[in-house]
Amino acid sequence: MKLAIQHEELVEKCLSGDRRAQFAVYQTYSKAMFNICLRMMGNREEAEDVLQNAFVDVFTKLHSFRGEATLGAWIKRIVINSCLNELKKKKIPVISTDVEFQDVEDQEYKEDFSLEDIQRIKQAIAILPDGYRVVFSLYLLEGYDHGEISEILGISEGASKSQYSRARQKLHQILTQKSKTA
Amino acid sequence: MNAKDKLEKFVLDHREAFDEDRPSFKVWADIEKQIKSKKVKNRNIWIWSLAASFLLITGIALGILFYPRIYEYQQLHALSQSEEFNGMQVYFDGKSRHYSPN
Repeated sequence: MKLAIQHEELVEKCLSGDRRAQFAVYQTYSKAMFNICLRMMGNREEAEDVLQNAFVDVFTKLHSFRGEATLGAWIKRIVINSCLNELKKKKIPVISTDVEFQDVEDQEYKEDFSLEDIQRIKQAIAILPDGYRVVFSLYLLEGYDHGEISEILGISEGASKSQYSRARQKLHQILTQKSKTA
Repeated sequence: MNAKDKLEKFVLDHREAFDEDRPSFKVWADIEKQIKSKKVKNRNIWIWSLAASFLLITGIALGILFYPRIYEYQQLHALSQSEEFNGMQVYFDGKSRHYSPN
């Protein structure tokens, strides 16, 4: 409740062009949003470009923020849409069908992970094909359900589910290969 | 989410570790530059459109107020320029000469 009031004040100040308030909003959300961009785009350079454009959008469209969602959730949607627009510009279908992908049985991943594996998993996510990476990130890391993802990507809920399960299998494949070669 | 496999569970248990990267400082500098130029532009558009609509409304109001009078004046002016009117003047001038005393 207190947070909501603080945010309301912050939004008001941003709208009146208060640069310090705008920076406060940027500081609060930029790290989490940058990591979303990084996962969606797959590389740092593009992630920074998209983050920049998304925040310019945030500040110029702030007057249309009605407070029906939290400020964070509203910014997150703008950031995700910016990422999707950028991916579409690259003409890479967001829902990709990986030709090299061979159906692996949807087995449980047997290996136990330790903290040292975090970097390895991040790298594996980064090299997933765009379509897989987007759905995987939205579902597992950003916490959207398949209904929401279908709305964001303009696909059916079933397509989102099957894309996610393929992404997960592909990730298993990459991680197993990597651990074998390592 | 149900039926989590080990990978999913591990990712969710260490969710924060997946948000460790930070953007470079250049990003904010560029955002600031862009919102500065857009802000000024937007404010100018707002002021100009306000001024334009004020002038338009004043114009319409003045028109409504003064149009009947201007119309009346124009009618009178047109009448005074017409041949009929001039003819009438010549006629009355003649009459007045005719009825002049002596």
